Amino acid sequence: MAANAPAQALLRMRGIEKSFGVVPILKGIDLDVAAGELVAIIGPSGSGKSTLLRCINRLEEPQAGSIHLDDVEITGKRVNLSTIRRDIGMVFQAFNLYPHFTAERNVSLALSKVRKLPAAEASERALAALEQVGLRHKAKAFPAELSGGQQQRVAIARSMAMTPKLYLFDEPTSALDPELVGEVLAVMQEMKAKGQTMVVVTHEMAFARQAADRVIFMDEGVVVEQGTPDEIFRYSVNPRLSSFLRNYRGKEA
Amino acid sequence: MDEIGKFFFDGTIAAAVLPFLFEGFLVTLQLSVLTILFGLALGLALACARAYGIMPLNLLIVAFVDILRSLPALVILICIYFVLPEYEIRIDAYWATVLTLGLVLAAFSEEIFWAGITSVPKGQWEGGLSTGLTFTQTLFYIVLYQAVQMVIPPLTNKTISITKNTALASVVSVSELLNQASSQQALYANPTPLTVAALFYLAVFAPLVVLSRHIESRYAVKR
Ligand SMILES: Nc1ncnc2c1ncn2[C@@H]1O[C@H](COP(=O)(O)OP(=O)(O)OP(=O)(O)O)[C@@H](O)[C@H]1O
Ligand SMILES: [Mg+2]
Repeated sequence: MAANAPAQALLRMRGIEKSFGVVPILKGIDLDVAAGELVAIIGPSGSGKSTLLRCINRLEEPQAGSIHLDDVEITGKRVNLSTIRRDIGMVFQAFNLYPHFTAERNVSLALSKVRKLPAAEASERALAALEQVGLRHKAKAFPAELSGGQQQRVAIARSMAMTPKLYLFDEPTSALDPELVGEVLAVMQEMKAKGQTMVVVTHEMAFARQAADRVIFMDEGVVVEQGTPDEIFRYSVNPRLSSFLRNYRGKEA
Repeated sequence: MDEIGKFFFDGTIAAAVLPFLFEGFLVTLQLSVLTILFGLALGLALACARAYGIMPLNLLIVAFVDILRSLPALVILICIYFVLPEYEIRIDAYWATVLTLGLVLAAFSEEIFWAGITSVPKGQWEGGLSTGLTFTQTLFYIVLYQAVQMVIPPLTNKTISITKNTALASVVSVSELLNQASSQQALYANPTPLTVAALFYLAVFAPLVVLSRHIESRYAVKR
């Protein structure tokens, strides 16, 4: 049995349940993400996508189920949240950069305080991460001096610098003007090309179709359908998915 | 008209009382500085402690803050100076004043700092926590700066208005500015010492007001 089992996935979620008050938001989610995979999560507003993502780094506490990253049980009772989170990068819709620090300090803060790197090394790694997102020349700029797209790239660099095992993106381009979306998606494409493992909640269907290895469709707290982009966007006959996608095409047209 | 002017500011009397008032001025200055240091430090510490959400502790903090904000400073001062000795706790008048005003400033500033902490967007906490910073690190490196920056205007206003109450120390006969001025006024039967005292008060607090304006614009929130 063990001999036939597929290689163990990097991220394994089993039976995740979460409610706010009496309202169930996640109703038993199972999800595996293999190393190097880009999984896109789509679904209507309020379906629980963000909540699911936030359970993975325990910004939300699931009430039932288990989550493993590699050999570590994230949902374990005695885990050190700081240790878990430094290995899971998160990129937010609203960037959440620290307005009182420069781009470089935004990126290096966790390197010095969490990874405990000496100042020179933290700064060097921060600059290298900014270089990767094409913003080394903005190292001394404050967030307010950057465009939305640049801010989001700094936020990505902040995650990247920590060299996490897994990246979580929660609608990374939803707060951006349309002409700034491309630069952020391009950075994400590059990360994928380098073999990073990424879970991306997105409303950018074109991105999901083209960059994702697997697409998950969530509705009302359950995974309704999952498969390759083609399976989801072309061949699915699931009525909820079809109606969701039709809605989208309507908006994009 | 000139007669009246002379009545409120008689140069000869002003010159004669100046040394006494200057002594009082120095005491007022010291009381003010100590009150501000003690009050703001304690207020900030309490607000930070409250951020941890430890229930029994938070109830204590809120009770302390609400009681001190409800009582007139003079009542607290009298309790500390006249009532505590009944229980064998003796504090001299000078330190009783610092303690009173410091506690009052701590209570008001705790509330202001707390309002600042709670109005820092949740995303700032999440940004920090998601990179592995602990709660304490996130509070001190990320949240606190922004919280303080947001509340500087109300904070400086409260600080100035509470610190001006050093004049209450005259009630427990600390020879601060007002006390010196009133005894000199009684001596000369002329209000000139009070006029000079007012100028000294301006000398202490006008710079504070100007400084607060400077701080406000220097740390104005950029977004
Ligand atoms: N902290 C909270 N307290 C109470 N209810 C919450 C909380 N966070 C989320 N919810 C509710 O849970 C439901 C799912 O929210 P979630 O943010 O996970 O949806 P989503 O799929 O990410 O939606 P969107 O596409 O709009 O971002 C929503 O109905 C939301 O109102
Ligand atoms: Mg969401």
